[in-house]
Amino acid sequence: MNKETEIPERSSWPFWRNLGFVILFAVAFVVALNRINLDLSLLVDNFPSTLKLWSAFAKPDWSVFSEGVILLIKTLYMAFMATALALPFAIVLSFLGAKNLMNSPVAKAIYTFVRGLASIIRSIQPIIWAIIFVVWVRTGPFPGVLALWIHSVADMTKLFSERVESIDTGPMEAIRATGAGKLLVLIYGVIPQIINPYLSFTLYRLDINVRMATIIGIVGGGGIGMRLYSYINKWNFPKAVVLTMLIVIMVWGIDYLSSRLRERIETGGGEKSQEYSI
Amino acid sequence: MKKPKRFTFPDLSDRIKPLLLDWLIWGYLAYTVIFLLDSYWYTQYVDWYGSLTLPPWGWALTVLGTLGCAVASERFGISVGLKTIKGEERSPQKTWALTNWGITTLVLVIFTFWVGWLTTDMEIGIITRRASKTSHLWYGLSHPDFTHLINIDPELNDTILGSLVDTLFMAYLATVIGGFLAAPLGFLGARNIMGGSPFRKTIFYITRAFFNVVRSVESLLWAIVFAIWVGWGPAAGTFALLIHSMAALAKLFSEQVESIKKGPIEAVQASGASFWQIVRYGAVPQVIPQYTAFLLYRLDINVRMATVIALVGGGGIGRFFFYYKSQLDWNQVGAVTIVIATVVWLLDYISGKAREKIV
Repeated sequence: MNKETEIPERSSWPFWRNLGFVILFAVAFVVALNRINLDLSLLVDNFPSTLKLWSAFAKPDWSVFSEGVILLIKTLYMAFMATALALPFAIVLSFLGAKNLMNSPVAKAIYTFVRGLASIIRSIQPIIWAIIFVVWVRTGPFPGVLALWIHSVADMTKLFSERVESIDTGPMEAIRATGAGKLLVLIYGVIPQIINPYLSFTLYRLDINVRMATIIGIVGGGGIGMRLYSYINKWNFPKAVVLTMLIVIMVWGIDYLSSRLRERIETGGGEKSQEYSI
Repeated sequence: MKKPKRFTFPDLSDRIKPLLLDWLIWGYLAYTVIFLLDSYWYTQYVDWYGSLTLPPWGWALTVLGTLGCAVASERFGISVGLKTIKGEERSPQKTWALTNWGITTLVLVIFTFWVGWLTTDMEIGIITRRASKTSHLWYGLSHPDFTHLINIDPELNDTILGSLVDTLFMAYLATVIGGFLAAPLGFLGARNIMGGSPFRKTIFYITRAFFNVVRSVESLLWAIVFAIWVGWGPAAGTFALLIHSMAALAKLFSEQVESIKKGPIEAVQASGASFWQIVRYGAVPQVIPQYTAFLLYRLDINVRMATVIALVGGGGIGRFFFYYKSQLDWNQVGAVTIVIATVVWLLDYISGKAREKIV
C-alpha cells in the first residue's frame, strides 16, 4: 500500500509494539552485559596499568615530529589516491547499478551483478582487504591504497547508484522527446542532476579514507599507522603520543574542510541554513 | 533588539584571507614541483649531481617566490582566493573547466595525483606479476571450511558462531551506552543552547573539542589503549567502540539540536517555561526520530568495526579471522570471511530499511 493513501489507524498496537521492542532491547542489553563482562570497576582497578601511557602525554618525544609529518603527508596521499582512482570506476558502475536506467533483461542481470558484488565488497572491512593485498603485493603503502580503493569503489557505487535511482525523470523525458539517443539523455538529462551529490559523496568518502588510512598500517598497509603501531608494540609511548596528536590534527582538519565544502556544494554556495538560539 | 556591532577589520580580513589562500595554492604547487624534480633527478642518476637538495636560501626563495606569485595573481585578476572568499559570480558563457577555479583545480589534481603515485609506490605491474602468489588464497577463500562454525576450536576455546554473538553484543552495548551518554553531551555541544553567557560558551567549546579529539582517533586505536587498560578481550573492544560512538553520536546529535525549528520552542517559551522545560518539551521531541536513525547507523558502523577490532585485542569474530590468517589456514579464513560479510550485509540492510521508516 502507498504511504500517502494509508489511513492512520488509532489502536493500541503501536504502544504494545513499542513496549515489545523496549523489553526486547532491555533483555538483549542485560544478556550482552553478562556475556561481555563489561565491568566498570575494571577501568578503576586496572588504571595503574595505563599510567605509563598517560604519563607519556606529559613528556612527548618530539624527535619523531618531522618524520611524523612526512608520514602524515604520505597517509594523506594514500587516501587521495584511493579516492581519485575509485571515482572513475564508481561513476561508470553507478549507472550500471541504477535500477531505473537498466530496463532490459540483460541490463537487469548486469544491475543485479553490480549491486550484489558492491554489497559483498562493502561488507568486508578495508583492514581485511589490506590483509589480502599485503599477501598479494607485499607490505607498503600500495596494498593500503588498493584496499581503500576497492572498498571505496564498492561504497561509492552504492551511494551513487542510489542517488541516480532517485533522480527526477522530467528532464530525462524532455530530452528524450527531442529525439535524443541514450547517451545524450544521460549527458543532458541525468548528469546535471547528479554532479553535486557525486562531488559531495566523493568528499565524504575522502574523509572516511583519511581516517581508514591512519589505521590500515596496522596490518602492513603503510602510512602513519604502521609506525604508530610499531612504537606501541615497543611500549615507546612518548613517540606514539606525538604521532597520535598529528593524526588527530589531520583527521580533524580534513573532517572540517570536507564538511564545509560539502555544505557549500549542497546549498549551492548559498548562505548557511538559519539557526535558532534560545 | 539589535546586537551592538563587534569591532572587526573588514578591509584587512578581506585582503589577507584571499592572499593566504592564493599563497597556500602556489606554495603547494611549488612543493609538488620540488618533490617531482627531486624524485626524477635522483632516479636519473646524473653522475655530477646526486639528488636535488634545496640550499638553505632555496627555501626562503620558494616562500618568497610563492608569495610573489600570489600577489601577482591578485594583481592580474586571476586570483582564485579573491573569487572564493568574496564569492564572485562566474560569467555563464565560460565552461567550468576554463574558469580560474577550473584550471586551478585541474592543475592541483594532476600534480597531486602525480606526486601521490610516486609517494605511495604505485606499481600496477606487480598485481599481475604476483597474482600467482595469491592462488592458494583464492582457492582457500572459495573452499571455506566450516568445521568450527559450531564446533569449539580448542586453540581459541570458542566457536565462530559464539564469537559472532560476542561481536554483535559488543556493537550493541557500545551503541546503547554510547548513545545514552551522548545525548546530554550533545546538548552541551550545541551552539544555540550554549550560546548565552561566556561561561556556557566555554563549556560549548570544551565539549566540542573533546568530541573532535576523541572522534579523530579511530576505534581501533582506542582498542589498543583499552587492551592495555582492561586486558585483551571483548570488554576492551566494547569500551573502544563505546568511547568512539559516544563522541561521534554527540557531534551528530549536537548538529541536530542546532538545526531545530523555532516554532515549538517559542510556543513552550510563551507558556512561561523554564530553560529545562524548554529543552524537554520544545527541543527533545524534534530530535528524537533523527537521533534514533543516527543510533541505527552507528550500530551498523560498530558491527563493521567489531568484526576487525580483535586485531588489537578487542575480541569478537576477528579473533578467528586473524588467528587462522596467521596460521595461513585460508579455508578457515574463507569461512570466517563469509560469516562476517553475511552478517554485516544483513545488518546494513536492516538498519537501512529501519532508518528509511523512521526518517
